[in-house]
Amino acid sequence: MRKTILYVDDESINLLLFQAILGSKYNIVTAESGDDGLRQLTAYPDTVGVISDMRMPGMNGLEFINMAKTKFPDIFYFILTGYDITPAISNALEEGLIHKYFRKPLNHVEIENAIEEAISEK
Amino acid sequence: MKNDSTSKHKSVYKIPWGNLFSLKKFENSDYSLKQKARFLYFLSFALIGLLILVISYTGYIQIINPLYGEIFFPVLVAPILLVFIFITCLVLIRKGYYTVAVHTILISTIATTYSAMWYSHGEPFSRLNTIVFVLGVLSLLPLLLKNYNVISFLYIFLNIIILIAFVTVKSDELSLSDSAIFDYLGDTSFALMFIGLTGYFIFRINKRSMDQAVSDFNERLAAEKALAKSEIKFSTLVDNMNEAVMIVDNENRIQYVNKKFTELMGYTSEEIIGVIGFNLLSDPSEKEIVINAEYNRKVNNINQYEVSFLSKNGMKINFLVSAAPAFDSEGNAEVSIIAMADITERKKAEQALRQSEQRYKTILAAFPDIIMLSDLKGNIIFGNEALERITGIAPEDYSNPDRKAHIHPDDLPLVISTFQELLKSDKPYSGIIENRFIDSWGNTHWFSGTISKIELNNQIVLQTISRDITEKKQIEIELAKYRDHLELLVNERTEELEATNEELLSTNEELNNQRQELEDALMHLQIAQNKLIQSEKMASLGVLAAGVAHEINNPLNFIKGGAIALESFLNDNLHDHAANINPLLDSIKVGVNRASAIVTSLNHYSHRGEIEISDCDIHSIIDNCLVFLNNEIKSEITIEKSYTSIPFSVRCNDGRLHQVFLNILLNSAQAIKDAGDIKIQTRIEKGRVFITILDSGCGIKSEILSKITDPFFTTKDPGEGAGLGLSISYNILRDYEGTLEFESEVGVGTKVIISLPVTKT
Repeated sequence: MRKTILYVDDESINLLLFQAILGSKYNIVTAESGDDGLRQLTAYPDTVGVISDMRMPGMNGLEFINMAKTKFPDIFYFILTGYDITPAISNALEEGLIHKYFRKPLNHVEIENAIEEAISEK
Repeated sequence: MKNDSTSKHKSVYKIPWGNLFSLKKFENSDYSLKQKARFLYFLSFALIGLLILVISYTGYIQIINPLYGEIFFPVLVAPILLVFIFITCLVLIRKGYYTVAVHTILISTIATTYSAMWYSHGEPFSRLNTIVFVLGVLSLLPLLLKNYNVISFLYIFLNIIILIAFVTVKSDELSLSDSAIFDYLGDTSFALMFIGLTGYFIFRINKRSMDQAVSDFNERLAAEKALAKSEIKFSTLVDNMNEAVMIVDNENRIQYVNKKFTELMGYTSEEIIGVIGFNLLSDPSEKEIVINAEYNRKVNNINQYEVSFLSKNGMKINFLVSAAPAFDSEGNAEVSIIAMADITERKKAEQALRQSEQRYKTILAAFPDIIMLSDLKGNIIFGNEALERITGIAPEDYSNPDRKAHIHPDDLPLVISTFQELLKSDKPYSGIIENRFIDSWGNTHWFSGTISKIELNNQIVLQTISRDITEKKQIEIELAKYRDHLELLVNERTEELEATNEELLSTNEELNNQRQELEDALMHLQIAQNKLIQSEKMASLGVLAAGVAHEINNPLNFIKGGAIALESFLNDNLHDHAANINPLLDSIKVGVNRASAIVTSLNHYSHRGEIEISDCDIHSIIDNCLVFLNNEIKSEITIEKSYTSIPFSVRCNDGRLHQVFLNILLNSAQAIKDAGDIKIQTRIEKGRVFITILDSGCGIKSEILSKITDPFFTTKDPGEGAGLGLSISYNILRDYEGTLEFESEVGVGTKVIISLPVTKT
């Protein structure tokens, strides 16, 4: 059975493309904001991992992950961002809030490998 | 006197009878003769008158006498004869024959008297008595004779003899006793001799007194002449003196002034004589000075003082006065002789000098910079107020070689070499030197000044003029701080720019137009960046880059994601067309990767203070880079390394330094077309490490040398480089207080000099 992955990005094109690229391997659930993401996680309790954009209207990626992690501490979280690494992101990495961070434009092989690695670590 | 005599002369000619009483012939005779002639002349007149009276009287008596009843002429012969004799005398005197006249009168009178005695038939008593006329005439001898000598006595003796002869011959007629005759003769002779002697002595005494008077008079005349001569000498001398001279009496009344005095003061002698000297003083209070001076002259024997007088036309004249009293024969001070030298010009010069000195002192005191004179041993000869105020060097420290204030030891060689050059040089002053100076309280000052050499009392003296520029120096440091602050300001600005860019890019919605839009955006960005660079320099670029990167990475994500999705879709569904489609998809991917690489490298601008800093080893970083670049460096290129043996390290981010050296070494390698060499040298100097990378490549044209660190400046073909390498390197080095400099010559090569502060050696 395909693992469920939640992808959060305010750009619908990114959501569409992510679905197109990784949809064959994983069951991709998408959300356009942090709030939306939290709702989706509740709707799909078998979700194994979350990949979130950093900059979004309302909550940013890390704020969303922070909230999600309190409710769903057992799943892994990634950031996929157009920014270079920021102090907030490196803190999140150090604290273990997120597993990894990826740079846009996305490298699907890198992301796939990371997901696989995270799943196997469980 | 002369005028008087002339007027008398005139009156003589005008009035006829006047002529009768003046004796022209004796006008030039000596005084006594003149008087004698006048006496005789007027006596003759008087006697003529008297004789006429006698003749008339005698005639009258004879007429009224009943005895005669008529004039008896023989009695009248004598007086009438005498009248004629005296008239003759008058004529003789008028003609100038004085002596002849005198003797005529004498002889004729005596002869007449004796004739009368001889021929008279009267009483013996009256005949003898007649002798008194002779006595009377003879008593006139000293009045009449010019020289009372033998002739006088001859008259006396002659008369005595005639008298004796008369008495002897006529003794019978006289019928006198012998004793009476002897008595008469004795008495009369005695009278005659007595008259002779008396006359002689009167004459002699008169003559002697007169001679004495004349000689006294002549002596006095000679003395007066001598005095007049000396007075002329004296007055010529005094008049020609260069000093004004005045003589004042004991009431200070002016008695005399010389020519110089009248010239200087403008008064004539007539105007000034009699004036009280004090009234000439320009300042009445100076009267005290004069009175004190008089006192000093008497008591202390000082007789010079200065006073100022007011000339007639109101000019003030300063005099140096020397005064001396002149004493009369009894030793009392009678007048004061006052010599006065005009020192007005000298006074003015003195005052001008004093004023000029005062001005100079005022300027020196008020001058804000230090002015100092010192000898070659470092002793201060003179310093103005600023010297003590700024450095604390008080006059008592001037010759103290151990005084606290001193030139900063680091700047001492500069100052000493300036001194030495100045002493050798022909120029009298040095160029401007800046040096530090430690004052008496231990504070450090920055001075900017010049040193001049001047000759003072045949000795070379150094004159230093220094300005305290400590504040200016501090402001320079402040300015550097402000420059850093500016970067913060720039950060704020760039946030605004970020917003602008967001707007710019929000329109990029359609997938198909993304690339075009991307390029447009990049172009806008470039323009915006260029503007930004011009105004705000590099610092702003970092924040801009960070903001923009995100926005560009998203559309890149669309393209790349789209391409990946498309590729997997095509591979799954249109496998047969893969050969045709894959190159197209690959070109999309290459494009995205290249754009992404640019955006990523832009991120280097944004890193500031967030990156780990450690002690980096420059040598190993360079070596690493050379290994990385192994493929890029052609085999014909030789690398020469000459590293310093001094161990050192720099505080930097290791990765960013790698990037710097990679960029520079890559540029060097690419500059060499075929074969060549790259020389890498490191050295430590003044707390910094200098890394020189010299290539023998194509070089950089001088007109673009200044632009090579500008972002997006490149000489490479499109796609081979974004033109960010050196710009990023420059910014990285700047973050660590490093510098990056280029020297280049086209066709010879390029020298890159990097310097960084060394933290550990």
